[in-house]
Amino acid sequence: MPVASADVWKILYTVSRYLFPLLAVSLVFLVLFFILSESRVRREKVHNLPGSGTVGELIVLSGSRDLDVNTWFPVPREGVLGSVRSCDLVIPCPGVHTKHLDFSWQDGAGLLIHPRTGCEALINGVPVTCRTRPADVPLTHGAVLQVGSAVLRLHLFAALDSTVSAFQPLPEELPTSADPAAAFMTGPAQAPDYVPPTPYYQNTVAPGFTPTPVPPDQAHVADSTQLSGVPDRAFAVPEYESSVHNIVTLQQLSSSEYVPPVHDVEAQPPSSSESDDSPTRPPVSTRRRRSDRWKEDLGE
Amino acid sequence: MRKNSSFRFRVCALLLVFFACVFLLPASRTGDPTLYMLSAAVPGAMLLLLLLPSRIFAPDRPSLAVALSLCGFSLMATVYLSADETVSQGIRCAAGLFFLTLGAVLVHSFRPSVPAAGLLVFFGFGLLSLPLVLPGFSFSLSDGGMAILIFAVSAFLVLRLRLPALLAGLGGIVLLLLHHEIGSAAVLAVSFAAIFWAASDSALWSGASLVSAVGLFTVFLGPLGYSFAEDSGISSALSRLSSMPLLPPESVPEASGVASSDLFFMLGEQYGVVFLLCAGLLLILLLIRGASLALHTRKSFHASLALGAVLLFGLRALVFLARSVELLPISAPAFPFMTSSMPDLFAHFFLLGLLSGVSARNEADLEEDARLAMLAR
Repeated sequence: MPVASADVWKILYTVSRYLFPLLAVSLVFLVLFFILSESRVRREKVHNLPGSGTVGELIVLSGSRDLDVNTWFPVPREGVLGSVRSCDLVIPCPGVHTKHLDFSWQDGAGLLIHPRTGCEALINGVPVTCRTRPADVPLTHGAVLQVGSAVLRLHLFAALDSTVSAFQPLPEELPTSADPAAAFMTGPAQAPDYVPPTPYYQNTVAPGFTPTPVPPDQAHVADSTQLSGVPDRAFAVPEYESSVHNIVTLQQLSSSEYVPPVHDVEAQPPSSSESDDSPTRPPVSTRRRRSDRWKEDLGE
Repeated sequence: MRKNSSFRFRVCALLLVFFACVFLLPASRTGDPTLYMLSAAVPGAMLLLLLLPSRIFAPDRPSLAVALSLCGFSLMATVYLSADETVSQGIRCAAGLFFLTLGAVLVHSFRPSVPAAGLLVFFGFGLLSLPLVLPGFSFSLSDGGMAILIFAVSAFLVLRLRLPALLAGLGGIVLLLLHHEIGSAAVLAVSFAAIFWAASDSALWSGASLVSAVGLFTVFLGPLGYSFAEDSGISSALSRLSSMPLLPPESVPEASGVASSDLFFMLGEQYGVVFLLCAGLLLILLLIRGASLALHTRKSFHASLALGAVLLFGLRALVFLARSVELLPISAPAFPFMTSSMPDLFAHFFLLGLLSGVSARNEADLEEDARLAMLAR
């Protein structure tokens, strides 16, 4: 049974001839604005999180003329390290191929390194080639990667998260060996005969340098069960250092013999006499900490 | 965020008004209760899907809005001809939502591994070879098979197994060529070569994939003698396009006046070329959204999946339009979301589910970063 009479329906149909195309075009525009607004919201989120998408940073311990010491690179979850600008991590140093290695983050393991064919890298002094299984030699927090003449240390932000299993305990104190390369070799996998090719950083760690311990009561300790569900971990964040370097376990904190590890060489200013002894050393750039950037952005 | 929500509500309101009017108008003429039911059910379902809390149903809402609009257009194409056919198409679209969820869940839970990728290849080959094994099988499962093969190739490439990825892609192309789906084979070949180029990061392997695909086509179309005359039954779409009105015709469309069997052209004949343009623009927006998702994702696997879905959608539409204007004298896949073929529609929703899964993953990564930033404070 028709509801509208023929005349009324004719009028309705005539109106719909123009109304429907108008609504269809409006729909296209609204969907376009919807997509644009979604992109804008995402951009704002990313803008408020400067470190978004990165798992840590690689700090240059030894570079070249084009790569200053203490330069730091944000490390994405996956990418390519090489000497050309199209790479995610550009290391313009002798011995680094145009596309030297691929890296990828794996939860619970660390940063896995896949050198390209004919390329080699050293992880804590252990040579890694394209034939090495990446999972056998993961790059973990504090580990040192040598690519060509560049020596880089990895600092993982993911050590804050449940992926903390990738974190390996840091050495209790910096080695004071005569061989300065040993100062950057962490973990048991260090090769005994490892000698870096360009020891730019010879004066970075002063001979006889003793780290200043931070007593546990001066550290901000947070129960990590609230953070990541890992019950036996906590964060110790001293005032001067809010990075992830001072992650320790609760067992360590409760121990009376606990000496907080201070391994960041730039936290301790070198003495003036040491600076005088090293005229060829490139100037140490002032490194803005990631946490400072977050504070600034979040403050805004 | 408030602005974003307001756009979502505006899209929902427009969909509600538009599709309610579309079904109410013929209902007021014929008094068919089925059309009244459709005028309530179609906009209601769209509203529900777009406004459901993300805790319950978390698709990529802009992509879903595009897909629902295209599905709505496909329903419009049959509303003056047969209300029962419109209901059937609506049910097909609703069933496709299951595959959307399946795709999203698969992206969320899949971890690339050799056995899993091998299983997907086996499944994809199975779908593609079914018409060869069972000649009486009337359904075309090539779209679903292609989607699954793209998934498998992405997994192999992430695992740095380029040879299995190459073989999987070439195997799919061969199977499609063997049952004369030249258009689908071309779509798969181009998508496969593009994913290989993007994910393998090796000029040698990318070149090898492209040369192999081109070689297969050359061999099949040359020595094996594929005859284009087999597709001479394609009607003259170009003349149909030129005869279509820009706006809906002055007289009410009748079943006898519709010459097309394809939903896309049926829409054009009944509602004018402007609706075809809108459908094309909506698909372009879907492609832009998919490309944006592929760019923002953090894992190459998810980027490959999003890229594969976008390429399959885009190339499928391109081949469809090229065939329609008689640039390509071959059989071609249907326009995305505007097909009455149930397996094709399910494959389209599955691809949309892949995009939704990648989008959900991107959002989860951002939330994780926000949490880490909060911890660092």
